[in-house]
Amino acid sequence: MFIITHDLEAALVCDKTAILREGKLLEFDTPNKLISSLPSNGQLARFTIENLNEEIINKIRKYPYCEIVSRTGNDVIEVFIQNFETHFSELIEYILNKRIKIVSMSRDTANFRRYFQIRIKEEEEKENNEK
Amino acid sequence: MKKSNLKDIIVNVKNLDVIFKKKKIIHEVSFQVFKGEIIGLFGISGAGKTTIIRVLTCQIKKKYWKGIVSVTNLSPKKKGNHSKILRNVGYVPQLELLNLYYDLSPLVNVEIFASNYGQKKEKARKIAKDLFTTLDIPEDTWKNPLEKLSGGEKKRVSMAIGLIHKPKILFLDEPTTLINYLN
Repeated sequence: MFIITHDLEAALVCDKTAILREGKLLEFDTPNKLISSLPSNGQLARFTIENLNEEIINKIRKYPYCEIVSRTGNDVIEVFIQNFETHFSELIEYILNKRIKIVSMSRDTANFRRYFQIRIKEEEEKENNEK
Repeated sequence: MKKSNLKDIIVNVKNLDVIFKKKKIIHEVSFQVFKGEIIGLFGISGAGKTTIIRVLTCQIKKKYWKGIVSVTNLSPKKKGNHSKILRNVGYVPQLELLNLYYDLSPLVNVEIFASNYGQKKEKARKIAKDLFTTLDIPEDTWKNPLEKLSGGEKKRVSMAIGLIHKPKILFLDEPTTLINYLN
């Protein structure tokens, strides 16, 4: 069975997912395998930050083991880091030391929606660099 | 997932290019699908999702595409294979008004489509009733004109029609309330 859809939640019922962009097949695999190809197998730290802005996000990007920071809400970011278990507490410390105010935080595993967004963005950036 | 056997490949696509008016809209796409797998095709508009499905369902002339494609071991390149392939696949379009007669009832709609596949009226009715029950279409609507049904009910009738000939492969184009169907 093939399902063509914009609804990324549909990945929940799929054995395999094909990700297409501009006529090219970027990925074709199980959603779990794709998600675990993200840094630290897709484990992420989620922070709600007071007065979140680009400047703050760039500061967090400078954390040495930071891989990806994506803004997922007005004041929410998700941070992917290398060796999650080793660096998670260090990341929190780093953010606090930069006098960035954390309102709340949690840890989670990326869902397919997040994977899709990151993968498409990566492809766009690759293309822009080639131009 | 169970171990996949090569002979269970139901769709094989290798180096598929689709070219319209000298513009390449599909670039070297390759993938294999095994029996029983549910495949999700994701991408923003214009990514080529529907185009690939149209190649698989014999809706794009062979002069517009190249590469190796087989659907239930048959190539859509050969015109002689088209009717065999279409008997093996079911297609539920994005807009159900494309495959339904709105002034006829769900039961009559299904009978018309079943007769296209050479199925007898009684047998078609039996299959239709089973499908309607499985898809949760309320029985008191089965004999009403389709236009009286809700959007979701129409979509389910459209889905029943895609399944009427017990296809080996089902293609769903943008099913809006997907999770409801599958749970």
